[in-house]
Amino acid sequence: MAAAFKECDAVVEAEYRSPILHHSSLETHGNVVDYRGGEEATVYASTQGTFTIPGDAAHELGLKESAVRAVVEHMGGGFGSKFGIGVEGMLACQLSKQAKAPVHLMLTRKDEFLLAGNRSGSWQKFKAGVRRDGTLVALHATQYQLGGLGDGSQAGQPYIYAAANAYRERISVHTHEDASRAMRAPGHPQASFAIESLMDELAYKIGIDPVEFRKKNLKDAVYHRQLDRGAREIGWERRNKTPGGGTGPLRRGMGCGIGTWGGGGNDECKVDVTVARDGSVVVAVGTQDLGTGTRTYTRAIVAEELGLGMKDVAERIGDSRLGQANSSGGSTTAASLAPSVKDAAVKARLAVAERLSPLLGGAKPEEITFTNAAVSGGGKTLSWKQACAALPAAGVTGHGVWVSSLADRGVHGVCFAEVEVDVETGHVKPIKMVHVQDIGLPLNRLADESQMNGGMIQSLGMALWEGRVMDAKLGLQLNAGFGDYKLPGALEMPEFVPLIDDEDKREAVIGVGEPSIIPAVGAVVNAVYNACGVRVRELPITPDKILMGLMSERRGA
Amino acid sequence: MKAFEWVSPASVEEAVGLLKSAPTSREMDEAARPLAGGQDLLTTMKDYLTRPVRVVNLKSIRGLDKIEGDGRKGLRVGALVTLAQVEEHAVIRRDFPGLAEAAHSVATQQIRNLGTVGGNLCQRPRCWYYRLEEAVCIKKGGSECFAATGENKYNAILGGGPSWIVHPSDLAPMLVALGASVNVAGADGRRTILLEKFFTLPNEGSVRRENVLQNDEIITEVSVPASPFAARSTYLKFKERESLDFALSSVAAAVELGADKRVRQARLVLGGVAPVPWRVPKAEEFLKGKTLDAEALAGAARLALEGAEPLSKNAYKVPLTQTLVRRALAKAGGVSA
Ligand SMILES: Cc1cc2nc3c(=O)[nH]c(=O)nc-3n(C[C@H](O)[C@H](O)[C@H](O)COP(=O)(O)OP(=O)(O)OC[C@H]3O[C@@H](n4cnc5c(N)ncnc54)[C@H](O)[C@@H]3O)c2cc1C
Repeated sequence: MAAAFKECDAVVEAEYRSPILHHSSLETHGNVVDYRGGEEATVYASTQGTFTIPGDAAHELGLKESAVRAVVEHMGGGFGSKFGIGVEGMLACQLSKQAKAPVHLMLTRKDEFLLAGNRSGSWQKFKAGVRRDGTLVALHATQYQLGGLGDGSQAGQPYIYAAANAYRERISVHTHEDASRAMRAPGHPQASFAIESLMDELAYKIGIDPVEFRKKNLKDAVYHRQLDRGAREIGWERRNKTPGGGTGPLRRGMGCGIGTWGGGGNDECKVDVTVARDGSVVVAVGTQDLGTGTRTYTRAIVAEELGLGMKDVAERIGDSRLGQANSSGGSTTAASLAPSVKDAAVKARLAVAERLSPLLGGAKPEEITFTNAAVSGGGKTLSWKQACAALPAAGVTGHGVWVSSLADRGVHGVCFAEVEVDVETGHVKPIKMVHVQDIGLPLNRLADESQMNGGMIQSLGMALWEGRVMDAKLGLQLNAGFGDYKLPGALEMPEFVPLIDDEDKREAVIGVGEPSIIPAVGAVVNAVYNACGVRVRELPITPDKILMGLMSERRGA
Repeated sequence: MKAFEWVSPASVEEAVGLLKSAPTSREMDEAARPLAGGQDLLTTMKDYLTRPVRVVNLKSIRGLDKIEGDGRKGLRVGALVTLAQVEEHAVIRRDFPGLAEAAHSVATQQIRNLGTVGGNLCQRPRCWYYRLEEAVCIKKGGSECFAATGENKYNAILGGGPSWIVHPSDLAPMLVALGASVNVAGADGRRTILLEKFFTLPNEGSVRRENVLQNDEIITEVSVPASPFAARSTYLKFKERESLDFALSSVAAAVELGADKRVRQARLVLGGVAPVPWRVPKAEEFLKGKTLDAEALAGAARLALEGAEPLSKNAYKVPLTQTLVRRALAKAGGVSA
């Protein structure tokens, strides 16, 4: 390494820190456990893994796993913190067992902050060197992950970039704080924030456009096209040419950041699509919808396949008595579930077509078409009602399993942000954010854009307001509530421009939930620097840090 | 929340009688408490910071929800008037614009719909340590102000010790600037207290209280005198999070300008930086006879923060408040900062 640094024209040494963050699901963790003695129990759970509940509950209740039913019709957010029944669920089981009555136990908001998981904090120390032409030559990283009793998580540096000489070490620091859990793209926003800050510092130090500098050190062409598109969309040429330049108290600036995520699906979902004689269609699978639109696409895929409208199909989800499904983690739900739903719908369609073939002039089942609530073949058309009337009394059911060719993994993602900094108060006003994301085949563009907007909002929170504050002597969290743990609100929202990268031609489903939160933190942090000339290396970038930064700059000048 | 007796008196006399007669220790946190909008009292009860044996519901008393008068006669605002009523009141907006701005700056619309003027002035501090049940700080009978050496980003830079809370009310600095008084009723009679003398520093009186009220006393009305500066009043509040936040710092300013645009009188009170609304007479005096140019604004800003003693994490409040002083004075005086 030492020799490599000697080759460099510019070297930056810096440490970046991000605090422990909270999932902040609006619905806290909890369950209703209904066990009144006897052989069976039902658990109504707020969970992102319907099928993680029966085993956990059965263990507490002393029942067989198959005797416990989990119901998750609706749930109010998880962001990675709601797998398994948790200590709160174990207590509810014990109480229900003793009381022989249903027990409703939800955590208070304070409990939620103290014992329901968190995103691990990070301290990342770097020494990195570049040549004058912008080539990243050497990078040394020491990454501490602060996960309390847990291990925490952090993607390894230099993250998406390549350096001819790279060394990193990653260290878990254990404290008495509650254990970290998965949180929307575990470890990635922390890693992206740090490396994107560092790349920015290097670019400014050698005087290269930060976008060009990134391109120079990224081989993957997808990043190049996404950077170009984002830059165009935000108007990158309007950025502050000198960080902190301009006159008057309000200074605008722009920055960018990049991320990557895996996603991908697995053979984990069993889906039934049943068409009844009265024309009703039910798609059933035990999966849960944690606010990502699972219900909607489950229904939509079936409706599309059968040529019906959304109102003609009903989905039944969130019940462990229905077909097995995976937990919602790692943005794998859609890529595991959607292909299975599609498979079930195709099978149901063919089963219906087979029955109708005699009525449609002997048309081959696969040539019978289903459109606009009508079924056609052999020159004849039946309305959906007429067609279904020909089905057997029990209707027909398609049993779907995962089709690997309909799912894929691996995405990029680029974000640009514009902010306005009041250099006399340190206030940061987000103006505009542009997020460009490849996601394979979009299932529902509105929902995908909504995921991207949500990711940008959560990133903004991480960049500018959120963070657990502990008292070092008392060992107590000082801001365990929504009054003091400051989530961004309506007035903090900039203009959001979520852009699905349609140049991604993969005809396969890839999750979009997690990639959406990764690149924006770096974008906002770098925009603040571009606006006011103060490099804040410790999140969140609150006004006090900007003001103190400006003051020490003035003293230095 | 600790169990309590709930009473709904029909008159002020009955209310203060019920406050007095409650079986209780003399400590405010255990005594009977009056309840207005409940936006603060309930949270302090849920966190066991206040454990009243009896809660006296003031909302059952008629006649405490009136706004009367105007800029010429002076203004009288009943203790139960909500913050939303204050911010929307046409006469207040015209004759006491700073007061409407201060009310508008509080919390959220929902909280302003319920929160009252009396409750706003008597709300308890937001210091992290005070609000944390587990931290038995000096304001809760402990021996230490944990903020003094701990996480003190939001704490006092002026008037601190032995507690470094800041007063949380947004109405208070503006009302002090406008020279307001509160009418107070107690079991032993009524009194009128100049608001400037109402709030107490931690080293005056009990460190566990923020004002001079006795346990059996309630505010019935706030009265704001007619003044030559009320029409040029303004309240500037700096929030870290625009959507919902207490003041990291705020400035209530009011000026009377002569025909020559020179300042005849100025009132300047800082919020969010001291345990009480922090009036700065030196800066007010300095402004007399000056035109509000950049130099005068900067001079007033410097004097306003004279004597500030930041803790380890709140030095930023000095330049921040100086900016707000300049901007507030400029706005009140109708010039650019
Ligand atoms: C999330 C949140 C954000 C907030 N943000 C702000 C803010 O930015 N700025 C701000 O100024 N305030 C803020 N507040 C506080 C809020 O403004 C006050 O809680 C509200 O104005 C209090 O009015 P209330 O009628 O609800 O008081 P209550 O909760 O009923 O009472 C508050 C206290 O005053 C006492 N009290 C009430 N009425 C009287 C009376 N007439 N005489 C004597 N004592 C009385 C009560 O016993 C209690 O101790 C916030 C509160 C919350 C919950």
